[in-house]
Amino acid sequence: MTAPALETAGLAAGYGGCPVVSELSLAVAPGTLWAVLGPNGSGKSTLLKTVLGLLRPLAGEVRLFGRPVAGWERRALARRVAWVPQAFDGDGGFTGLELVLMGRAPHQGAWGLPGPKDLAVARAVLAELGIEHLAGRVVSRLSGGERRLLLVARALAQEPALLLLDEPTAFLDLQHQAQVLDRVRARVRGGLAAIAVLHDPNLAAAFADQALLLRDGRVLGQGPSAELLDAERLGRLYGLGLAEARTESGHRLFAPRGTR
Amino acid sequence: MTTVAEPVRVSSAVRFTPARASLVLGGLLGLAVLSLGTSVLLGEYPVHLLRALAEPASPDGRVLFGLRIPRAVLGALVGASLAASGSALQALLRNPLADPYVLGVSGGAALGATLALALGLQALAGPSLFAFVGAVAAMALVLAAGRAQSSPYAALLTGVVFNAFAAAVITCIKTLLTPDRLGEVLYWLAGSLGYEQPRTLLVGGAFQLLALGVLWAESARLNLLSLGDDEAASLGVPVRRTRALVLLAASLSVAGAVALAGLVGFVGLIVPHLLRLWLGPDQRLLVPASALGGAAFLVLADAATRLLFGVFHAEPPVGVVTAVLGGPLFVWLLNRREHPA
Repeated sequence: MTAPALETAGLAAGYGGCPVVSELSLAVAPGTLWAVLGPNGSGKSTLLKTVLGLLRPLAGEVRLFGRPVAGWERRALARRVAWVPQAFDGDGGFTGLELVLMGRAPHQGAWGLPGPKDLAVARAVLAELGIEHLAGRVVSRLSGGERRLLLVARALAQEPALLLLDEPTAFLDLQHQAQVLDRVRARVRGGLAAIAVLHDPNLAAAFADQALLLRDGRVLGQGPSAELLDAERLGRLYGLGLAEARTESGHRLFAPRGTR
Repeated sequence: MTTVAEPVRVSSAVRFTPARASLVLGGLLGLAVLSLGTSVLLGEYPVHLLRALAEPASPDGRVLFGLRIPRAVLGALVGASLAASGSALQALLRNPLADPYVLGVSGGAALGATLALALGLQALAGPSLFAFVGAVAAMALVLAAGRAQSSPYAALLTGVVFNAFAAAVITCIKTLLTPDRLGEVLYWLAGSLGYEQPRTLLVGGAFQLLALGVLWAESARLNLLSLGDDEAASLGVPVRRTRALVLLAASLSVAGAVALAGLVGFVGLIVPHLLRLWLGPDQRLLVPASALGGAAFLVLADAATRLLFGVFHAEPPVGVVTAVLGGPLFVWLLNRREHPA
């Protein structure tokens, strides 16, 4: 049996010795898409950063492809694990294509001259997300949503085996939300393991195989999203009353019980 | 990160290609050589090139080999060092306003040189040595203080505060000095190109080439670091090592430049920004382009100073000229970004 892409055991994560997430045991198999849901400040981003090795675990262990995260060399890890951060805070002077090509950095020589394959991969990813027109545009002049799409494109160009997405759908219009998750899904069918922090339980229900519910740094539940996600549990997660409905196509929808 | 200078439209989606880089760097190399030639041949005393080459001992030869060439080479070294370090530090600190002097280097160097001059150690290159030691000590202090914080802004702010502190101590020393000593201190602080010994230039040149080589070798990782430490790490950059290496190379290079020529301002800010406007933010191109452009800029500024003020038989320090040119230029650069496409 192959090792899970990601495995944590009794993991506590946080900043400055102060745990934000604790007692997390998780196994993410290749070919599955996990959704992480929870209120703001429940430790979702902290979890992703700890998985990436950017934060040291306060307790417990993170194993990536069977090896402890600290045992990975940075470049080798970057060829296996890609991350879509919450926001773009870099140098806005690069063009869209230059930014996406940075995803090829771990596959190139140290000096990072893109070869024909790198350019082909970057262009293909831009086409896949329908954003070829951003290739020659300067990033600082793009909208928040367009930057988000470029960050997703960069992570896909990295050709990872594990993809960590921190609110990949924030700032995106409805069509692009569906498109991004659809493209990720397609790669998950091809064996990619993906973890997406999402704020919309409807997207989680529609796209994720598994779900992890975090509240105040504690696991409120984890398991197959089809069984785990219901109005009662999500209501407890977010601390508000939720109604559940089913569409004609069989998709489940959750909405706050309005006061109107 | 806000960027001060960036083009509205770009020539192509990927601006760093070997063909384009060779073209740009070849052109800038030509410009640097041209400005060196101009600076060597022009001056108050008209040098007859053939006579100077045929007879190095003739007055022409002595002016050419003893004065003009060492001075032009010194200008090129200092300009290249300041501009290339400026470009690298702006990417590393993720602040387009980062001047190569921000890491406390200018304050430390000025304090060192002022102390040397105040103690009467002009002989044996006392001010230069003290400036170098002061710059390196200040840099070490600032980096140690910034290390506790992971943010690049910590080092930047500590540097600014240290420079202010050093300025206060210098003012204090100045009030204790005799007028002639004071004059020397003021002239040194303004940044001027003198006439160095060939051996000093050789050592300085080797030192600067080494630093420049390190910066260029790290330039692809610098591009990734300009996205932020976490993103760079997720793309495979060993962040701590790269950061330490670039800071060390840039700071030592600037300390060396300061020891050779005093505080020549604005070269490290203006040259990378103008080039960035033309070439984009890719450090693989910007670091060497800034080195060549900075060399050409400072050599030309020095030649222009000698020629213009030669009429009055006076010679203001070149740092004054770069600041007078650079200040308005920078304000213009800063404001032009407020016009979106």
